[in-house]
Amino acid sequence: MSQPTIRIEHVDKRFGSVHAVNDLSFEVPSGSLLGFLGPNGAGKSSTIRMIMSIIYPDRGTISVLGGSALAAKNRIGYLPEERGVYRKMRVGEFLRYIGRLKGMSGHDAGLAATTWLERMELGAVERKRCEELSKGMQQKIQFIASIIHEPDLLIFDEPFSGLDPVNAELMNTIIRELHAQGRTVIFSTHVLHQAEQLCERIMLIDRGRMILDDTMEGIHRTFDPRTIEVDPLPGHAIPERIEGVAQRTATDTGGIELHLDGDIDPHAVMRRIVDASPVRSIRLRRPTLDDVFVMLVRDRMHETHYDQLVPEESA
Amino acid sequence: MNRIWPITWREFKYTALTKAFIIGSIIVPIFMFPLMIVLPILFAPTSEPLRGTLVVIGSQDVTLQAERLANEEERGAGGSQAMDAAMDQMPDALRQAAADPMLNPPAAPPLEYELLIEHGQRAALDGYKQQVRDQELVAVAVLHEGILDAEPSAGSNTIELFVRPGLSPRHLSFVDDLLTDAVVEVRVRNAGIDYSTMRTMMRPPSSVTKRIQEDGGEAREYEWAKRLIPIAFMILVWIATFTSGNYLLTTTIEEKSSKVMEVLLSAASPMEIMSGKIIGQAMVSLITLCMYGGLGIIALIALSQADLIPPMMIVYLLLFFVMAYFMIASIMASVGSAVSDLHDAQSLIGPAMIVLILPLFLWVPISESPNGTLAVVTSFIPPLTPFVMILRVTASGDPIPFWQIGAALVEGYLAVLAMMWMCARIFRVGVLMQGKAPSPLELVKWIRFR
Repeated sequence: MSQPTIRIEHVDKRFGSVHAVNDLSFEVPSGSLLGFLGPNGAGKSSTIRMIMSIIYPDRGTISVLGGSALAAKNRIGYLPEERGVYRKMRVGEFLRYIGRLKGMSGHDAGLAATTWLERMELGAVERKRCEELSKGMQQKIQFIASIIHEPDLLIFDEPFSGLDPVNAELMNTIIRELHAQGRTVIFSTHVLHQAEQLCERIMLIDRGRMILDDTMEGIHRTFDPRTIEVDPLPGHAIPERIEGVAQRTATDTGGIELHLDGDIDPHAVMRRIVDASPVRSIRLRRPTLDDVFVMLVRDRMHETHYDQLVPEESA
Repeated sequence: MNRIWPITWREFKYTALTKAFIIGSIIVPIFMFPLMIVLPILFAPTSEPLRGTLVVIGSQDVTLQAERLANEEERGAGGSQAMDAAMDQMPDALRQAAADPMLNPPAAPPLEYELLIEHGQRAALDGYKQQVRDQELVAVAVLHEGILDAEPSAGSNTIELFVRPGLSPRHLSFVDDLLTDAVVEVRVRNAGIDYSTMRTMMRPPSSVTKRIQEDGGEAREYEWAKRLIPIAFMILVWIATFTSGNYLLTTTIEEKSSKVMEVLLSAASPMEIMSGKIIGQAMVSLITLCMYGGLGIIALIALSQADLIPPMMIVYLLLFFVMAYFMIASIMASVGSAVSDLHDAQSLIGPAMIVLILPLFLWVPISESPNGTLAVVTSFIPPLTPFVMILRVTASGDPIPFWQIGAALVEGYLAVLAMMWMCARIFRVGVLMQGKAPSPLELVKWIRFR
């Protein structure tokens, strides 16, 4: 088994009285595409900053790309949530500057900047000053700055914010390509459906602690669906009382959502519905990441602990 | 190091190779020299010719003498015998400076005048005043009784001068000088003394001081130059260090407020960023120092005064300049990293500025007495050390004991190391902080922060 790209063991970080990261341990396997999620103030940025060796843990160890985080800086690409460019600097020069800081030669950085600007449909702005660009364009420039040196590990914090759907799709495609090349990608976002579409694995932290670390498949399995969506044929009604259905609600599209009792087998209920009345469609509603996120975070706010949901190997 | 250099170069390029810097710090000083010659000409006083009649009441002799003086060719050239006498009373240094063509602005053009001087009767004073009011007379002068006595009393030694409204200061000064000179000359003549002989005899000899140079040559000694060199050196270092210090402050604040700092931190450590920025601005500071210092040295060479600055003085200047720069830079970089806007920075820098401005006020006592208690004590108080030492080592007079120079260098550079260490501690925490500016106490906490 290959060495994990990131290994974090019992990391603690306090800022005064705030316990930002609390005994956090996890591993990010090499080549994975990981969603690093959590509510505001959960400790995501602190953890990412520690991975980037921008700040250091009070306790615990962090290994990145098999060594110290500081030594691996040139192999990491980072797109911070708080974005910034030098307003007076020309786009091409800014990218060459970042490339040089990341260990590239001036020549290589220049070539890479031109290539990536073309790829991001920004070839015409290379000589423009950063302040002349729109917010979305600046966002793309910063994305290029994070990948220009072809890093092995990519960390994107809210990469799609401020982008229109076309550009978001373009960036999405590039992230997938980078992942397909074997690079490890971590991205942190509040737009959970993007994480759901893109990521193979999800980590959810809250109040500095890991509360979920699983693959998307595992999450769907763990958070067993308890809702059936039915679309009856015109002129046919679903019986008012079906065994195992605790509650029913009508949807805006003319369908019905049936919320099941706790222990009932959803497939048995679906069979009963089909037997009782012809339907146009019937399906188990998969829990979205939004549902899981809201459920876990809300329940933790009510002091319910879901530590047991974290698979043993990463706990 | 491979990360520091790009940061250094960017900092230097975007400070020194900008229009604002080139115009403000290079072109303006270059043009200052020709301007020093052109400006006095542009600002030289000009006035309309003085035409009209001056009535003198009280002495026929004075009236005649004033008329005679007014007919002297050099009378309109702006000087007066009274002025000459005043010049004679000046200290040598000022007189030399005033006489020096390099410092003395071109004289104002001679005053043109057509002044008719008439003797008047005291009884007709009111009528004369009315004529002055009606612009028919330039002025009417009333000499007090006893003004021509050999020893006039304080009350009698007065001329009352009634002038027309709108008489220019230059015209008034001309009339005043004319009358006072005339009164003095009549007094002397009444005492049976030949005034022109007396005037010649009263003129003190002018001393020409020459300095024997090390190569055996001679150079004109300018006391004013010796007095000015220490403050010039100190202001030179002040300007060079504070200009770059301010750039360091503003660029750091800009990087924080524009959020580009986080991008930089993902590529380089806070120490590397801080080092790169400080070294980059050091290069800017050195350019400023060479630019202004070079102009000063050119001026001294033009005055044949280059030997006033021996090579060792330049060595000390550079050693204490580097010390001063790193002290100021460490203050500016740490404050810049700790705040999010310039307004917050001012309140943090304020106390440091009060200390740093002290050498400007202490210039005279320190350069007059470079081995005095004040000079010695302040030499060992960082961050005053480099500024005070520059004043001391460039002041003429008793040489500074070498051990004091050595001790100040050791103490100063140890202070630089301590300040840079504290700056680095503040910088690494400060660059990640946003929002409210920290208090000085919080800065101390940041220094101790693990």
